[in-house]
Parts: sequence; structure tokens; C-alpha cells
Amino acid sequence: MRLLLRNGRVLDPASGVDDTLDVLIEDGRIARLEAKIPARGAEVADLAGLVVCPGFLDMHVHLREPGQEWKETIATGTRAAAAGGFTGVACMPNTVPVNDSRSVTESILRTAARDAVVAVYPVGCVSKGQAGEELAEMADMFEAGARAFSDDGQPVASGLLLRKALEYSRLFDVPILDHCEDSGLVAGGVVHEGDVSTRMGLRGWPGVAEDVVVQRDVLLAEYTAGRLHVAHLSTGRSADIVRRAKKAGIRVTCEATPHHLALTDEAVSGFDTNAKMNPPLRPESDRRALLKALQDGTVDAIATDHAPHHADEKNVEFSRAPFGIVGLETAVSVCLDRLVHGGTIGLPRLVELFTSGPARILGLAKGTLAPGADADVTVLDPNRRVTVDPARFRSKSANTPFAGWSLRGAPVMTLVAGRIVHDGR
Amino acid sequence: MRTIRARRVLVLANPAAGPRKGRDEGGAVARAVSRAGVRCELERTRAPGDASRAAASAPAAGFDLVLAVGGDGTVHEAAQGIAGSGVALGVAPAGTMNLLARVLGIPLDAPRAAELLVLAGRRLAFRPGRAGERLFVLMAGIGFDAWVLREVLRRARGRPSMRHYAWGALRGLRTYRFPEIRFDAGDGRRLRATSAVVGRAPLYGGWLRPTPRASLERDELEICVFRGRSGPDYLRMAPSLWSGSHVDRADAEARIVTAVRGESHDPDVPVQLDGELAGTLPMEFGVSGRILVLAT
Ligand SMILES: [Zn+2]
Ligand SMILES: [Zn+2]
Repeated sequence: MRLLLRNGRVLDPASGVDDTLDVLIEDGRIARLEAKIPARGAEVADLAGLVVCPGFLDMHVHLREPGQEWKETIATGTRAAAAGGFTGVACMPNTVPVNDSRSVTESILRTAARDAVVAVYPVGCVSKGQAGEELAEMADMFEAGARAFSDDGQPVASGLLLRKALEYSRLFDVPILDHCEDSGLVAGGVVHEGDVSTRMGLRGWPGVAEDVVVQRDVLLAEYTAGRLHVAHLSTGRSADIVRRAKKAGIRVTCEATPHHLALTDEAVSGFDTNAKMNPPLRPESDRRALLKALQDGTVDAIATDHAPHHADEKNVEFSRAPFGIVGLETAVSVCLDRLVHGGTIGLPRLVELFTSGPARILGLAKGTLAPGADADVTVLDPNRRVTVDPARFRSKSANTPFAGWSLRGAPVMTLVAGRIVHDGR
Repeated sequence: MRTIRARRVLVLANPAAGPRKGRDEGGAVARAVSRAGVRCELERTRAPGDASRAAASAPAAGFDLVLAVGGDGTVHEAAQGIAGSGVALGVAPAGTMNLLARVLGIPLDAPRAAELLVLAGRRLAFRPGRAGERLFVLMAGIGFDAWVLREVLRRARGRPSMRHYAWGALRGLRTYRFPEIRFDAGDGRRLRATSAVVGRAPLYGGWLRPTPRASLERDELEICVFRGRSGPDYLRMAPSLWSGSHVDRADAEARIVTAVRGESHDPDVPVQLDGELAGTLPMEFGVSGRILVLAT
């Protein structure tokens, strides 16, 4: 099985390539990368005017299977990923049951082998039952295929537990992904604490509740020399803490979500529960600080925190609606439109944030088009105009604040191991 | 009392207020003021916070009267910006309930009210209520009414009508959580409640009178707490709020206080001030030191 991608702009920040090149794919791998490759019987796709990138990775996705299949399944979630330009997703462990043992990790990978159209990298729990008390069997899960550990959905509240996890994770050199939130300070808050929360009569979730945990985590990462990854960074102060920690040589990375980069807390003013997420949307000053952190390299990856919920679950009083929005099928267009065409970062940097950035964090041999690499490829049309239409999502859920947005730039084709899993050209 | 003729008037109109959509009440008021021979400028608000900002800039700009054209929400916003400045605030009623206009006995016709206030207005200096950082002119609602308001605003497209509120109240009777709220007036006596109204004035929306003893002329508040634990409990109590006989019931209690702090273990007890949502408990309610001069 040979496939020749012709005339595209090949953009692979990991190997420093940015040129109009042909890409030959053989047996699921990148075989050659040259100016003019003869077809010689290979199937040919003409990608003139399009950008050929390493496969995009989303390192923060809630696939909901097992246990909450009415929200999403591995089959629908990975189809949404493929349509959104992603060739691999890391799935968070807060399923039912939670992924805190070898058997659950294995069963996720078995289901993925049968149903998934993109690669699935399970994230294991830090604590047994995600109860925040006892360390889960991380070694077992790592052997079974877990590539990171997290109690996402909630923070690792106990400093002792986080210390143990960071120490333990050094054995396999995997990151601990922390959802940084001091639940005591959040105290039931549902939107950012500020003018908007007051105006809406809703309990505020102050930015400082994230900052104090990021700071604690960084200190513990330094103390243990373990690998810390801060999930969904949302405040300027947290970005400052990570920036300083990196300068000091502490092993910390972080991700930002498209929604925290594109929206502010004003988006919830109309009580739109599809703009309710955790951490909450922040004011413009925080959003600007995150953009700066994208530019100066403080942020390592863009991840969606894709969190599907059924429409009936979201259509309730704002304070009772569950946190979270879907992101797989909007992330790339939102980022191309707002960040690249918006002038915050160039296309190469954006590609890095979706490819080599997350690959490095998860320790995956992915995120590059170098010959010999798996032929995971994302093709972008940076100028295509799209309108976000949740009715056409592959995801089972449609809880997005971006409905109706007109965006410039879109993923148009996705290949996993040389196989076309989405073709919207 | 002596009447005062205004010299320079800022007409602050909220086009989104009131039941008569599309009617240019702001323009009508500005014309009435000009006809009366008083200099005026018209400013229309667009977003939340506009009225407060515009009112705050009025003293420095040389205005001696700000006329809020709209409802109690418009007055509420303007009061935030103007209290403590000495510049008078008047209301040309164009809202749905117009409670302040009713309390002050101002004509419920915006241009006519404007003409009266500009040419022969009186001045009432009073200390508005204070809730956390904000001021309120009429009342603070804690719990049920703010819960209903929030849900109505979430559901209504555009400005909610009286029907929306009626529907919201019925729905609220089923969805409200009747949380345990504690009020501490600092005098050793605590009040338990599932909802409450802190009144700065004797009128409340919907012709209810939960705090009939509150008065703009006295520097104190009346708190009325409700202890019902279910929708049916609240429904049984409702009629007594029209007559004022609720204070005789076991599941309601009213007291005069100068300050009171409300808190709850439930993180989701919303607060409304003059019909505008304003955060959640915990919150302190008192009488502000910033004098608000009302044109009446
Ligand atoms: Zn999280
Ligand atoms: Zn998450």
C-alpha cells in the first residue's frame, strides 16, 4: 500500500522542514520526503495549496467510555478527533469505572483496537478509585499502555500523594498531569470570580485557586525531580509560575485550551451553559497573558479538554449544569483563525503546539514526518472558511460555545498509519 | 420643602428597559427637558456597567441632575456611580415595575416625570443599602427570588416579561433547593431562613410587601426571613405577603436591623439587588455611608 502526497507545503517543526515537497508513504510509514517523487503505481493525492503536517495530538480528551456512553464512546470520540484533524488522543481516566488498574487500561485499549480510528493513549489514575488517598498501581498501568497519570476532573489534593506520584513516575519517566484547583478556595464556584459572576448571581471561582496549586505542584516537582504537567492553564499568574519554574530548570510543562485562548468570561453572560467549564473562562487580562505564554514558549501544547455532555444535562440551571465543552471538532479552526490569522503566533508554532509539543510530554515517537516515522498526517487548508455547525459533529455531544462561529482555516484530511481516516477536501 | 430648578441635566436612558420596546423614551425625556428650558445631554446605555460609568462621570462634567430613564435596574446602576457625589439622581419611569417611582410618588409617565423633577424637584438625601461592595436603593433578595430571576434571565431571549417571571416563580417552586441560610445581625440573635428579603423601602415587586416598615427616611433596614422548606410551604405563605400578615406566621419573621451578614453551606445562594443579580452568599448587608441624593 503506497500513497503519494503531492505538492503540499510540508511543515514539520520537529525536523525543521517547511517547503513544498512530496511525501511518499509505504506500509504505514513515511518512506521519502523530496521535491519530486514519481508515482510509480502509488495512489496520488494532490495537496497543492494545502499544508501537510505531522499528525496532530490532543493530549487531554474525555472519551467517556467505559460507563458514560450516552455522552461519547471511543468510536464516536475518535471519529470526532479524525474529523478535527487529530491522529491521536490521550484519554482521561475519570470514566465509570475509573481507569485505575491494569484491567481497565487493557479494556480501553481493546475497545480502541476494535472501534477507534485514531490512536488512543490511556491516562491512568494517580489514586485508587480517583479518591485522592492511596496511590494507584501505576507500574501495572504503565506496562499495559498508560502514558501519563492524572486524577483529572479533580486535583491531586494531598501534597503527600502528589509527592509519591512524582517520585514514582520517575521510574518510567512519565508525566503527572494535574488539574490544578484548590477546591476549598473554589468553594462551589461555577464561573470566574469577578464582575461577570457578580452580575450573574453566581458563585465565583477565583484565579488564585488555580495559582496556589500550580505553585505547590512546581515546588514538589522541584523537590522530587519528577515530571509535572499542568493541565488547562487558565490564568496569567499560573503562566508566570510555570515560566519561572522552567527558567529554574524544574521539569514542568503545561497545556492551554483553545477556549481559554479564544474566549473570556463574557461568554457566559447570557447564562450559556455551553460556556461553563472547569477551570472557568477568565477575563481578558488572563487571556492576553496566555497568548503571551504561547508566544514565548511557556505553553508546550494546546489540548482541548474535550468534555462531552448530553444536551439534557446541559439544559438546566447554570449552577447545576456540568462543567465542560466539546473541542475536538473546533480546536484547529479556532486556533488557525484566532491565533494564526489573529497574529498571535505563526503557523509553524501552532503546528508545534499540536504535534511535537504533546508528543514530547507523553514520550511518544510521534509528531514528526521524518522518514521512518509512522505516517500520521494532518492536512490543513489555512484559508478555508468554515461555520461551526454542532448538528454535523461526529461527537455524540454538541456542547460547544462556538456554534455559528465563522472561522478561517480548517483541517481537511487526516491519515493514521498511512490510512486516510478523514477526507474533507 | 423648597423646590429646585435643575441647571444642567444628564439624561441616562436604558433602551432595553421596560415593556414598551422600540419606544424612544430617552428621546422623549430629553425633548421634555429641553422644552422646559433646561440644558441637557442624552446618553443611551448599551452594555451592563454603562449607566454606572456615565453617572460616575456626571459630577466632573458639571451636571447637577442625572435623570435615569428606565426601570429600577437603571436606577440601581446609576446609583452605584453617583452616590456620594452630591449630584442628584432622578427617575423618569420607563421600566416594568417602577418601584422607586411608586415609593417616591413620581408620575409613571417618563416625560411628565422629567418635567416635574427638572423644574420643581425636591431633594431627598438618604443612605442607600449596602450589600458587599454594591449599593441598593430598594431591596436585596436572598435565595428564592434571585434564583427565579437567574433562571428567567437564562431562559428568556431578550427582556423578560411579567409572564416570564410568573412562569419562573412556578418553576422555581419545584427547582429551588431551600438551603439553610443563617443571618447574624451582630446582636447575638441569629435568624435561620431558606430565603430572605432585606428591604430599604416598603415596596417589593409583584405588589408584595415583605418589609413594610422599611423607609428611605430612616437609616435602617428591615429583614424578612422565610423558613418554608418546600414549594408548597412557600405557596401557602404567599398570600400573606400581600396583606402584610406574614409576620404573624411561624415560618416568617421580620426585624429591623442596621446590618446583617448572611451565609450558607450551600455555595449556590444567589442575591439580587433592586432586581439585578449581584453574586452569591456570603454577603454583608448594611446601610451605606455614601449619601444618595434623590430628586423627588
Ligand atoms: Zn481538568
Ligand atoms: Zn479534563
